[in-house]
Amino acid sequence: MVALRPEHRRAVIAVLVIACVVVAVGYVRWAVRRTGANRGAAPEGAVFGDDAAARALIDHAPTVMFQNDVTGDGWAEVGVVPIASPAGSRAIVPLRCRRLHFSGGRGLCVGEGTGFGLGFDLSVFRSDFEILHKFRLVGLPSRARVSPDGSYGATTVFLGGHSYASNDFSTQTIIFDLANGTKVGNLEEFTVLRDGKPFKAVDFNFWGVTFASDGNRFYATLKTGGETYLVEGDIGPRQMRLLHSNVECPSLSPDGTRIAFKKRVGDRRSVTWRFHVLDLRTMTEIPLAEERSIDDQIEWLDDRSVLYNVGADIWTVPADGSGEPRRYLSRAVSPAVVRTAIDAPLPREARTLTLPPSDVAVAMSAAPNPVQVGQNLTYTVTVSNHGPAAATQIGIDVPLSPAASFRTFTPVTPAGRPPIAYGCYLQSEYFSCTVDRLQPRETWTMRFIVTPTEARSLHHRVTAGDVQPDPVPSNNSATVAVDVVTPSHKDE
Amino acid sequence: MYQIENSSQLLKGRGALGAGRQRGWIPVVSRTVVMLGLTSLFTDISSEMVATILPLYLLFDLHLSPAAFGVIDGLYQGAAALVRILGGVAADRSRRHKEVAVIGYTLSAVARLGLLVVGNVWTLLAGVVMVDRLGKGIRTAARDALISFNTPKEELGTAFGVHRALDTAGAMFGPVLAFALLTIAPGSYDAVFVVSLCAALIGLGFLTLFVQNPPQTALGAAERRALSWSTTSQLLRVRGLAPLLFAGTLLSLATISDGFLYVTMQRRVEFAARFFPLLYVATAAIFMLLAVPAGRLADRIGRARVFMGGYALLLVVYVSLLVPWTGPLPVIVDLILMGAYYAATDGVLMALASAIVPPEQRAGGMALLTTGTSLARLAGSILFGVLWTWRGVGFAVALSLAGLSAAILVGSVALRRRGEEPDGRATP
Repeated sequence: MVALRPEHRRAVIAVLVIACVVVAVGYVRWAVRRTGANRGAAPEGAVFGDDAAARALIDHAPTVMFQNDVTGDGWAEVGVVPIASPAGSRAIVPLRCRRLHFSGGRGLCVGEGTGFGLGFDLSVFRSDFEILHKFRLVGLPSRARVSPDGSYGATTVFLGGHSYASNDFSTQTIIFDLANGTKVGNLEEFTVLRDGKPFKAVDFNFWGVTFASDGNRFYATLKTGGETYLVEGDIGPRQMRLLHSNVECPSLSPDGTRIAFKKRVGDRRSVTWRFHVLDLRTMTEIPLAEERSIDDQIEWLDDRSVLYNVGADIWTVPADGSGEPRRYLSRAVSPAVVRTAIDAPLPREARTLTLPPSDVAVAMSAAPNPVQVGQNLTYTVTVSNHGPAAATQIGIDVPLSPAASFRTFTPVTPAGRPPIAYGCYLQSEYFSCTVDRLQPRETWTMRFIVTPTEARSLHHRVTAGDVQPDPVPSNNSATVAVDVVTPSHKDE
Repeated sequence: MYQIENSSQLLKGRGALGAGRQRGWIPVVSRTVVMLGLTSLFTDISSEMVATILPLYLLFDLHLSPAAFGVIDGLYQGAAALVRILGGVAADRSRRHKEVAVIGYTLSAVARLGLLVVGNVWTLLAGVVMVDRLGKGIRTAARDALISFNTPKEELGTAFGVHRALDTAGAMFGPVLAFALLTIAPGSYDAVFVVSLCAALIGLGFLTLFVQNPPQTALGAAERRALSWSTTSQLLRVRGLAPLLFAGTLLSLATISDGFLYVTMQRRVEFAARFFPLLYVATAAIFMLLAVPAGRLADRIGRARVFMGGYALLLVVYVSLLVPWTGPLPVIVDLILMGAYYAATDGVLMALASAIVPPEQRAGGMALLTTGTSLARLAGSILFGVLWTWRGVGFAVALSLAGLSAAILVGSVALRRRGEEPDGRATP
């Protein structure tokens, strides 16, 4: 190292400290000014309507309420769309939530707490979006549910995750009386019965409450001794009983006959879930057509299909195991189906967000076909925007077959054209990308390579969807089948 | 040049400074130790800022599933132990402790930059977190060895006390700064990362500009040896290290983790879970305040004695959890005792190691010791959880009390049998 004289060293550290402080202060000041800007600009051509337009939209009951994740004005605020036309205009109500649920005229909104610190506030709100009660939450809020009659609410928070704490996180689930604004209790205080006998252990963790329509019964997940169980509880006597094993995040169907849940499958080392539906009368389980491992508590759209979040998009799949999953609403988090009309007056600041349509299409090819086991198989995915408007925040998803292992991914940038901003990530069993923006007639191409591990036909399906309404939904997915053969130089 | 930084010079200059060092309440330690303390202070501000908000960022900004979050969090906690010993041995072998420390601190600074640029690419994000933890693992032992090289043996406790006080101050200020930033600019995680990067660069600046390796002569005349597991295992033959490792591991095995202690206290007093973070802060604050006095006491009355005394304080905490009491006062007393326990054991253990392990093997020896004790603490924590589930909290605490009492007795004997610390100062 160059030997500096002491006074020079002092000068260097002084310059370094000043430069770092100036950069830090400048960046923070810019960030403070930017927070009013809602995460960037609204998509091109966005049109905002007034509160009367929002009213007209919300009157199309039933509706889906969610946290809006479209950037620009209205980001992180409550959105409402009619069930019949989810991809059209969104009503936006000025209430900011991170997690949200609404039912029976009362809602729960988990938002960043006011004042100093990083706590979260749980607000109870009415149909007119007025806040009735507020609670301070400790830990990271993960789920919120309101009973169908609006009388009770439940939240789950993760405790731990703190830098000092152990990494085996624990959860805490609390039931609230939403009418009185009081705590009914922590589920750990309730009695648990197994085969009619009291059952208690210190490692009890509860999460994922779902309420029945009788204003008393609920279901939840209990984890103890490394196993998860479905418990059925009664709020009145503060009691629960074990019903079924390997059930996480239960969700009761509107008719009260079935529980949709995520079931842990595969070996114990990897965390892999599959959505299933349990019939409470026969206690039989049906796997749903969604093959990705998704960590979310399902919301029933109606008695025939369910909604769930994948990243920042809401997806739907039939509840009887048939059909295929499809993107229901882009850039929306925490869906709550509001089955009865919201008839209270809306806040004056309510408005609608309407985006111009853009036709996003996706195509996929694979080479070589047929391919040998262990050989590289390259998929090329091309997303194009047929216009008329620019497409923004395009999500591209490929569930990966268990009969192949993922190798690499590369975006293909044509020479002489500006690169297109994207982000990709590989979850345990699916690969997904987000492309920030595609102008009309623009395309984005990427390749990913897998190696087949078994000699059987390999099916991969890609889906793409943007925030804008899509006039041609039929070209939003593509499926490629590849024949996988064993190598020709077979062992004797 | 700051020749006073070198231990040989310090030893020479001690005649003049010695009288002043013993007097007064302001600790006098080598400038290098203060600079290493400042490096740790800024680096801890940087890393604790990120550690505090990372769960929020992953769950609410990137919309990653809690399962993915669990994997990243696990990486965050677990990766350091693996490289710690290798980092220490590499520093000894190359005799470039500063450079090894610089590599470690640089990796963490690069990780801050990584957080800003990788966005939501899950695999890259996990990689960034790994890089940060690797950096922490690599640098720790080399840095502690540098503290020991720049301190006369009779003041090792004070030097480590000063370093730990600055280090803990950074760890306390980091989350506060992160909270403050997110309060004035909600959702601006990138601003937290930028400030964290700036703090990391300042820390790196103090290290590169003001810390030097000790002269090669000070590191003994041992020939250079290849970095291998056999040279690593030779560490165990260092006179006095095996008993210290034995005592430290045994004591750690009987240590109930902070989290469990707080939960146990909560069951007695029924304070709201929202005060949980405050308990950590209170313990850390006491640790920070008492680190220097505990270190000076260790230098005066014997390090092994203060180290064992620290565990005796923990023993008092265990007893307090078994006798019936109510009200907030016992909780406050317990928190003070826990902070004092950290002050009397954390830096003092490294001071003990510095006095035992010869300079040419010091970083490796320190790494072995910290790895041993942290693995034992993890095992002890798991064991405590099992005991709690099996027979209840009273049983688990009672058994830990018995275990810690036995460990203190056995550990005292193990450390006493050496009779004398190699610096010629008799262990009282």
